[in-house]
Amino acid sequence: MSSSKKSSDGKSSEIEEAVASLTMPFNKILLTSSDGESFEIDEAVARKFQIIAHMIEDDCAGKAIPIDNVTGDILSKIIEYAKKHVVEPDEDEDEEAKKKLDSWDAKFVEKLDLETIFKIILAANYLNFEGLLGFASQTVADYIKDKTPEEVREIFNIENDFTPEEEEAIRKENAWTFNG
Amino acid sequence: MLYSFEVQRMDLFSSLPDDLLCHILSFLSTKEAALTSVLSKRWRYLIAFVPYLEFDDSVFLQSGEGKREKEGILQSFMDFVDRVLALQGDSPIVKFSLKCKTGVDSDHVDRWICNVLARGVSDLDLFIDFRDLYCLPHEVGVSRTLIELRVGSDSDLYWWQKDLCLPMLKTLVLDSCGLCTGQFQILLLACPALEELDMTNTRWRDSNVTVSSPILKELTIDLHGCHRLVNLKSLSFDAPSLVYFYYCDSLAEDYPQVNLKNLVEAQIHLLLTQGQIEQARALNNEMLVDDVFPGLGNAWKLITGLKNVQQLYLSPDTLEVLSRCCEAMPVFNNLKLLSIWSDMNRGWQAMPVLLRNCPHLETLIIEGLLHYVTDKCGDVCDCISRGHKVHPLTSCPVKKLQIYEFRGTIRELEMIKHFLEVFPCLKEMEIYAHENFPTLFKDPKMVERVGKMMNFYNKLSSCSVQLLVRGPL
Repeated sequence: MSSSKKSSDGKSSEIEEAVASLTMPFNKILLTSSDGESFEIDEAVARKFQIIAHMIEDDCAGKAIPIDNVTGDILSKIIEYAKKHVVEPDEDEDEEAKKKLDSWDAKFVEKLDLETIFKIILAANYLNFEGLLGFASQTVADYIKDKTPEEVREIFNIENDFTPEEEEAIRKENAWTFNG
Repeated sequence: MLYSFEVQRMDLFSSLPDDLLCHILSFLSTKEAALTSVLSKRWRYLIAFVPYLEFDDSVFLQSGEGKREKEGILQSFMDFVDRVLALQGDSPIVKFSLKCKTGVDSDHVDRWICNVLARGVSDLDLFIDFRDLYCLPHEVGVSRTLIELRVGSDSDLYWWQKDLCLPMLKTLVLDSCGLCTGQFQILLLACPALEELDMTNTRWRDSNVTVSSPILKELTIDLHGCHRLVNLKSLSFDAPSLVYFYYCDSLAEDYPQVNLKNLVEAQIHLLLTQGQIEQARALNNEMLVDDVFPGLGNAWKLITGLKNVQQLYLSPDTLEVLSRCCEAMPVFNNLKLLSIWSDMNRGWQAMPVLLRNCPHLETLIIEGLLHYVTDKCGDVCDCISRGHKVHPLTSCPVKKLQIYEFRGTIRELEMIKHFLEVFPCLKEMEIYAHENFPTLFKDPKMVERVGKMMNFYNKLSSCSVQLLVRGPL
């Protein structure tokens, strides 16, 4: 995370942060997206993002933190997920809670198009939010699983830049996976 | 001329760097990940950087003999593993899992295992079933990077060396492994960081075994319902950090030391032969318990060692063994949950003493109400009607009772009514129907009977009684 402000609106965001630090209730953190949207969240939720957790540990998190690489629409989705996952239920201790959360996760991702999921992967990686990165990656993996290469290319718009001879060579090299 | 402009949609993966692509691939099986190598040039060699590999030679094989020998399929599998490992070169690897059976060449297997060990693998999962005696390569026993090791087979597997040394190992799972004399001791000393030990179908050569570890947290000894040909002469425990203990085994002849003072959950599934059960039952007061069969007289040492547990799970055979330990039954001061599983051929003689010795019990779970009828059930149930007023177990604080495998028989309904009278603090009762219940439910007489009783129960006491079905009807 860059600690230097953008030169164009550097002055105003510094003031914004200062004001935020004075007026922010205890244990709340303000995150600002790259396109200027602000989100006030509990410290416990912010700690799901390792990059922020480290800043808090090292005492260099102000109450207002700019998230330069993530737009507001994506950041809001990430925060929504983080809020639901502040406490992860133990599979053995609380089967009910785990089932409910899994069901919420499934509904959460159902509403998202692939492009958004990819943006979430990038943002979760940047924020170092392991739980969401894993979940989103698994979701993409599920799109690839059990599909032929042609189908996968279709879904993700991957251009096949192999010549037929090259493709044949690859299938031969990996005979066990392709032919069984 | 009309042009239709087709907007070329962008390759979604172009926004992700290679390492995130590899991260996504790690959520696929290695076979599926390898299939992506044909998608485009970018994907061709990505598998070289996926640090989780799993290979299972049975993936393309149908059950039945013929398919395993299908022309070239096993050679093609070996070539594939060779190729992926060659592509990976020296790149770091985190987890390697291999399942293979006879037909895959053991030299290849040795090479693969040594390759990943040399690259610092921390999680190794091997299931190797060769009909001939197979020994794991020496390198497995001296790895400085292994944190989790699983070794299993359908037949015997050996891998022991004298210089065994696994300083980072935290989890060890052994399935169907043979242990030579003295090797269990060597194993514990060689794994000073071991926190979880799971041994299924282990064949001991030792007669006396001691589980001694200051840091071991979870222990499973599981004979999987089989009986030993020769029981252990003694089994001792010196594991003060143990929190979870699962024990499914024939009764050892003695338990000289049972130091499990911080144990939280114990699952004790003793396995007795029908002959041993009958001998135990035939005991009369004159006969000394020790004469019956070795071990019965020492079982109380095991149960006493468990006195600090918070959750206790007992099998039908264990209950029969405990019926001979009633005088020596410890008080379970921390026990909040007691779960017993019943069998039509095993009795509840130990139940009265058990319940009396659990002063803080909150939940009682009974899997299967029907059990072998004796006159020793005390007030817990009225197998043999005494015809007098039911005395409640006044000191029993059980608030919640869960009953499983309910079949709607008259006997069960009477037992439930009896429980409502016998447990003074009972607030909640959940009765779970046996999975065959949908078929039983078709009998209208039974439905009527159960329905009537449910109404009666809820009127009888302040306890709420629910009949539940697990899963879809």
